[in-house]
Amino acid sequence: MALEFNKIVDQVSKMGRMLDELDFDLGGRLQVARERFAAASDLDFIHRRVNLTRQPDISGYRGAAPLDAPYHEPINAVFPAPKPAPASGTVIAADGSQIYPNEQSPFHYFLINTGLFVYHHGSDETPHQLTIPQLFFHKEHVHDKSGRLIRSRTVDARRTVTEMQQLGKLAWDLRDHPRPLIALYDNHLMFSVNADITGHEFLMNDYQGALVHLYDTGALLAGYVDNPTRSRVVIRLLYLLSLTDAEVYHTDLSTGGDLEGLRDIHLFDIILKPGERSALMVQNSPRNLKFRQRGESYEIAYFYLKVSTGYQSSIARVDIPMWVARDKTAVTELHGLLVEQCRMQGRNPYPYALTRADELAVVTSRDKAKLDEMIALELRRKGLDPHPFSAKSWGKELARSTKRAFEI
Amino acid sequence: MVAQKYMVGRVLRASTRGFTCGTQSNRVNNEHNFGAFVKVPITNDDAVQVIGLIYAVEIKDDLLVNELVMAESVNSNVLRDQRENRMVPMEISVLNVGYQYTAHDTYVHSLPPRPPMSLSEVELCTNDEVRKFTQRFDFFPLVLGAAEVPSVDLLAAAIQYARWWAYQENEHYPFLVSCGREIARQLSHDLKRLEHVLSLIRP
Repeated sequence: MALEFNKIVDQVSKMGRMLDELDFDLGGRLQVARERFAAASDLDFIHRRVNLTRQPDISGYRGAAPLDAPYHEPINAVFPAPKPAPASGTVIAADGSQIYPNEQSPFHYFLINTGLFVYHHGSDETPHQLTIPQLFFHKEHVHDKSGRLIRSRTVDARRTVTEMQQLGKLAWDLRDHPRPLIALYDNHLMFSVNADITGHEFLMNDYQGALVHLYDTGALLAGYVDNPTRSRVVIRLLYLLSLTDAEVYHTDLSTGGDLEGLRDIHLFDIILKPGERSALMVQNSPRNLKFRQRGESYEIAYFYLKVSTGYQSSIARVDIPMWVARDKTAVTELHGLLVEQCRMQGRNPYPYALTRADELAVVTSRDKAKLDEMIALELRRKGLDPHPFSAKSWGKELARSTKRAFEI
Repeated sequence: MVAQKYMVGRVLRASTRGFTCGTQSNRVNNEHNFGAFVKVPITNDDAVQVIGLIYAVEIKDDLLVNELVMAESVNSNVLRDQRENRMVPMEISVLNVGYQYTAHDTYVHSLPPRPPMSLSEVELCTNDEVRKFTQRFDFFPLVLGAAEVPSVDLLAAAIQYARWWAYQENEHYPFLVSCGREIARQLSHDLKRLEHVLSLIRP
């Protein structure tokens, strides 16, 4: 039965009335944030204030912090798009897709498909593409220690690790290609695995191992987060800077305080002009501390970037490991090539290499149906029934099937 | 000369009336000309080949291609990537005009007994096959009667294709005259179409 829209008309109308009551006007807070941002030029003061939040009796600050001296940049600094962009370089991008394991399936498996794309900047060479599909079916992969089927979140974590590993392998293979060698990953780099994920320790180690591999290649790794609507680390910093030392001890630093509701994207959308980037910063968090403890080069820094095609612009957050952040030339080259990549897709300001990697990686429902057929065929060869009867599933298929009209 | 094997594409969907095959857009060349003669085995019987005429060649797009078209300029590497790497499909539609019993090398100018199977390889007919098929003109009504295709232009294109690929230069004139006579007989009730097709195959 289709959704009875007549029964939700009133509910939609109520929702509209509620929207009238909400405060969508961020203008006042945005102006305050802008003024605080403009005033945040004293790096010594900012360092002192952030260090204060690291005292054992203060907790909860998860905001931005400048890099350590001598690599730090004034928080309110803005850097124009490098002109000219690097004349040559190699941009590789990785993305992944998956088929989750199905409890109802007679044979448990999951699939991870990694798409890799290589763009030869400043060269006439045709871009290269590659996909690496991996089918996991061994009980050690698909079941946890209790013999239960692993959860989708475990597959997601494994996919992330696989993407980073494949990016590392490809960067190693292309280590002799023109530099800079940019390795683009389509998400933030501060990966973490909760303890409830099957094999969480191995996954985290593998991820860190992949970062080490990328470091060895000398690639400029970047995690590209388009439209980072949840990110408010700079807003938290601006709130922190507005407090007195005494207030810091008695304030909930996990919020944006009087700037609550604002996001970094709101601020940088008015601060940055097309092509410009913000200062390099790090996130003050236990998660990032773990990366730093692994090695100073592996702490995750980031900057905001406004990319544009001339028609549309967009704010992106670009995560980079410290081995890139500490190299001014590397940051400039990365900045320049990202701006270039985002101009290649017509009106859509997004790195072309990432769009193509996503296209290569995606596993559609049609692909899944085909794979299921292949597996069913293999099971039949072994004398197994690939589709054991499930009354519930069959009932759903019957009721949801396409209605047919009488035709002569 | 078309003597060796030239693959046009693989069958996507088919009926006894015609079929559509697909290939990648970067593989488009002379083998995909409007009016070209192609062949493909029918379902579960390699001894019978459907003979058809290409009547439409369509290049598909997607939103990314659309977006690139809107750009003021397209980066040359992106252009190469789109043309050489991306799976932008091309569909070639074919009208069935006969079939061949390969064992006896005989041709029937009528609809085939079964359509080809999906994913079957579609090949260009050899010059010899085109010549043998066009010894008689019994397939003309199938073309002229096909409402879903530009029939007059298709027939003229097929005749011109046969003329250039399957006949010697000294045979062109008698071949075209024979074709013209047959068309005049079949379109005697429709002078407008007759005039148009004759103008297209005039020697």
